[in-house]
Amino acid sequence: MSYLPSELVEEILSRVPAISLIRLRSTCKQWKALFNDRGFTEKHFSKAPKQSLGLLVMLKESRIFSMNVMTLSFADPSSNETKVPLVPNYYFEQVNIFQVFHCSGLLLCTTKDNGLVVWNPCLEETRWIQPKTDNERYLWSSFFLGYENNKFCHTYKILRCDLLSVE
Amino acid sequence: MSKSEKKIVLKSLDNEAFEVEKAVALQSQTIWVMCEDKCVGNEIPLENVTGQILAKVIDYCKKHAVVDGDGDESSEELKNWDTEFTKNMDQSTLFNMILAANYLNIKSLLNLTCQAVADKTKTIDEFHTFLNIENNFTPEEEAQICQENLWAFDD
Repeated sequence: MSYLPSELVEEILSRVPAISLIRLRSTCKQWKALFNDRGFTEKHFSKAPKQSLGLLVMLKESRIFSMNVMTLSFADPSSNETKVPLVPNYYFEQVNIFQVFHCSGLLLCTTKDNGLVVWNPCLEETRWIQPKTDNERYLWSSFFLGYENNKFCHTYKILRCDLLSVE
Repeated sequence: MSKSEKKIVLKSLDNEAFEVEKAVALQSQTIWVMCEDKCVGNEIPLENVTGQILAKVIDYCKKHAVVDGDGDESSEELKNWDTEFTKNMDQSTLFNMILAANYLNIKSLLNLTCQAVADKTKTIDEFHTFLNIENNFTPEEEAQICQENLWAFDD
């Protein structure tokens, strides 16, 4: 078979469900770059069939675990082979988590050593947030995550609430 | 308008001629522009599409055309027809249908065929074959990325 032009390859890939796309990330460099492209992700968001994903996130002894309960079968109760694959994630093994806040699939975690990190448990990607000032009072703040949802983009914002200044 | 003016002949790459209603053919933006520009006569050569594929494209366009009040199918029925239409197409036919829909600029057919490929293609190998792409990661890099996304791989 010959080649499809790249815009047609994009047309097809933007209709592939997200979980299959994650598998395809490891297949070639151009695709991995494409899947991180903002234009592509927005196209994918509007075109691909929506999947529901059961992800259980647990905070235990300052460690955070994510478990995939996606393939849990509710459809066929007569089946004896209902399996619940639990894939604990050890990314945060070295990090002591203090608090977790959840918003639309993303987790905002404060760590015991004054760190602040946003974690996407599906992509297992993290982004550490650099505080602007007042580093010593980090632990005395609460953090919340929210997003502004307009037609064109999905912008997340972090709200900080200084506990010492709240009466 | 006389009867002959309402018909148009589409000629495929392998010289197969199809006489169709103008309203059917004009769903293709490419043909529409050709007719608007009057750069062609009543016979339109389509150099990128074979007769076998063109026949299927015409089937689709006939179903979706509004010809003399025949186009009153319910959208539900059309949707079912679309599903049946692509259901038994093999990968090579779908591939050529996508190219044809793109060349002829029939947006709804392009949507339909791209979605069919996205639905039918399941494994990584199938995607590679269909989209003719080679894995250009080293085995180590590939293992690393798979490891990062382990959860997506358990079936």
